[in-house]
Amino acid sequence: MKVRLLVLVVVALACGWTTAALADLPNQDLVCSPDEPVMEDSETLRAWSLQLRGYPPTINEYDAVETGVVSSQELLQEWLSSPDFAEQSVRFHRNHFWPNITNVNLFSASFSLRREGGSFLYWRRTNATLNYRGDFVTCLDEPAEFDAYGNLIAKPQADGTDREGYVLVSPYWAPDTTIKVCGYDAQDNTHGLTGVFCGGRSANTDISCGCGPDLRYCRYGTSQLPVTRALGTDLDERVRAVMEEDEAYTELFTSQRGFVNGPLSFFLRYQTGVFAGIRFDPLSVSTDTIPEMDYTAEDTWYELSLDSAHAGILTAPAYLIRFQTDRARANRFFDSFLCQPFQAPDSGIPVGEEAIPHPDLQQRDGCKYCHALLEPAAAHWGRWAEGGAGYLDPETYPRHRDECMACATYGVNCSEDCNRFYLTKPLTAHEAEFLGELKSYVFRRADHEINVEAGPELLVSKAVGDGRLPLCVAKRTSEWLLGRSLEPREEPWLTDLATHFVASGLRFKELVHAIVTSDTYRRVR
Amino acid sequence: MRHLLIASALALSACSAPAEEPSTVAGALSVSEQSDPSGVDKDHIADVDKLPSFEPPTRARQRLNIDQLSASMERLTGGLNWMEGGDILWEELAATLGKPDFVQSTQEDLLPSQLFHKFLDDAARQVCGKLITGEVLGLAAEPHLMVHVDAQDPMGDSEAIDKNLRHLLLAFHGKRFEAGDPELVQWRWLADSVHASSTEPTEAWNAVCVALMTHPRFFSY
Repeated sequence: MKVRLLVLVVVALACGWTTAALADLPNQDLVCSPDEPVMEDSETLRAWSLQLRGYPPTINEYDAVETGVVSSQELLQEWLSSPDFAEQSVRFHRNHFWPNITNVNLFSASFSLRREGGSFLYWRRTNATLNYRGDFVTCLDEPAEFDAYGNLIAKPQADGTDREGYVLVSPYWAPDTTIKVCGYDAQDNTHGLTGVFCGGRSANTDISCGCGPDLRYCRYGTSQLPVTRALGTDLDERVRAVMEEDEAYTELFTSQRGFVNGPLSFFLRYQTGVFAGIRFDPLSVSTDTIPEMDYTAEDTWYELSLDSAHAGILTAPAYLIRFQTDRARANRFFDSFLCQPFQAPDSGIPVGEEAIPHPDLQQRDGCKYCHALLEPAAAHWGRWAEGGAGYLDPETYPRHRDECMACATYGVNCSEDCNRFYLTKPLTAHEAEFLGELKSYVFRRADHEINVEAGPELLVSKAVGDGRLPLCVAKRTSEWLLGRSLEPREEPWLTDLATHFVASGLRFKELVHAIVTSDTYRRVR
Repeated sequence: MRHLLIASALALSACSAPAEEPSTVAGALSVSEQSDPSGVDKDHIADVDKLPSFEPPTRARQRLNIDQLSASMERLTGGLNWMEGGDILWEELAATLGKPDFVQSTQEDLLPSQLFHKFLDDAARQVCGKLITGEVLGLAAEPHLMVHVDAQDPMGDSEAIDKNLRHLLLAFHGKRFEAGDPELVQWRWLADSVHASSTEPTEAWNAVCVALMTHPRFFSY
């Protein structure tokens, strides 16, 4: 009975905004009157606090404003300067950068340790396993034995395999514990007997290579999760730094600041060579600049100073991996920060009568509707490897490589660099003229070649110069704070906001301040 | 009369509007001002406002997102939250409640759906229960619900009850009411009604707490 009464009352109280529907109620006097569209001061304070800090004001804050101890404007300025505002800004920007790459696999299966059938023995299933054990089987559950020269002793088994024992190792992901690792997999040398680097994929057939010191070249279970999480957090931290330092908004896209924690530092120093599909090589940051940190130091962050090729978030590993092609990278930026989505018109795109579609999408009928703009825009990421986060520096990766042209022309084996980054396999006659060229130069018009060399920073400076970026940021921020799309009649207001934003030195805080103190914000429906 | 004139003028001008409609409001105004297809005597409508009255643009009332909701509950109750087995359920159920993970979903769902109301109701009942218990047993460092009433006799002082209700409405809804405001009547009625049908006086404040947390003024701004 009590519960029913409570439910009825709650419903009645909650229906304050639908008074019209309840107009005939006998207890009309108990129904809340609809709220006035213009918020009271206390309601405005609550809305500001929720949006800018993520939680409501305290009673003391309400009272301080009511009694004149502090003005609402002073409180607003204080809130805009708080770490909580930076956190809300990070949250807002996540909607645009989508910084979650925890679904990405960073390790080759050959460098993944496994346990089977309730066994406590850790081992790898690699091509080398066949060489030293004779089959894809685990080792013996007994301590490993070594001969006088320190070589593992493998014992012949009835099933025809040769198996060694285990070695106790403290793994990097849990250094305070020891686990049983099969002898061959526990080898802690950094180079094999043939000189091969044990932390690279080519080591997976070398029986003298194991998982390296502390098993650093291998992963187990979810041990890569802290790394992918850290890559997303690096992106968040870049946003937070700009907000907390009250820097120009463009710093988001131009700053040479990066962040690493323990797992990320460990990964960048030791583990990028054992990639799966996603690759970090050629590394965009020198390992000399990455501090030595324990893998377990997940909450300790260190600010990196990156070189001038970096363009803030647009070249952050999480951005490059979340959007793995140059086109996807440009598309996200155009959609979120220039308000120019690449979208076909409702009427559709006229398709021509070409017998053979042109391989250059800038010229192909239909495709060119978007790609005439998208291709040169994507070229700004031309020196950032697709399908990963590597950087192709101009010295090591010049626009043209004779060796890549030669291998493509004369049938000799192409190097990995040629296969990955240069055009060696033309599919049409149009492409043949670009043999040996860096792929980002293929079909590149002369006036767009600068895009490849100048990188995303050029795209950003052009968009600031012509006003697209400030206008779009003002629009996106208004939509966030107003909770709706803007109407055509609000265009003059939007233009004023963008002008104010530019005049303030592109300070995000000023833009937010202008929006939340506007008459529009105070009227709520 | 004024309205009738405007309505007539609009109806007439609509009947005789050109086939090609202007695409913008500005266009519509300029057409009606440039010509007079209605034939209405302008002298009769010269003193009325020919411009349609537009409502000024407003902010859309927004539902709290899951993070705001969780933080609000914690702040308003001195650190209590909707928990199960050491986990904050707002975080556990975030994906179900529309928080994007940016892998499976990229847009936040802020609709006050039935599912949202169900979970909010569950959360409010659990948190309010813990809040009452803590304050009655004196476990809380400071009261957050029974601030101006005696936790051992929370329905004993009529003036204190009203003062407490005003305090809670400001804290939970951001609405400041003066003593005697008609809006307080229904909240007082809720407390008194539950008190009358219950043997435990704290039940009244439990009901007020749940009602405050499930009210649209709490979960929206």
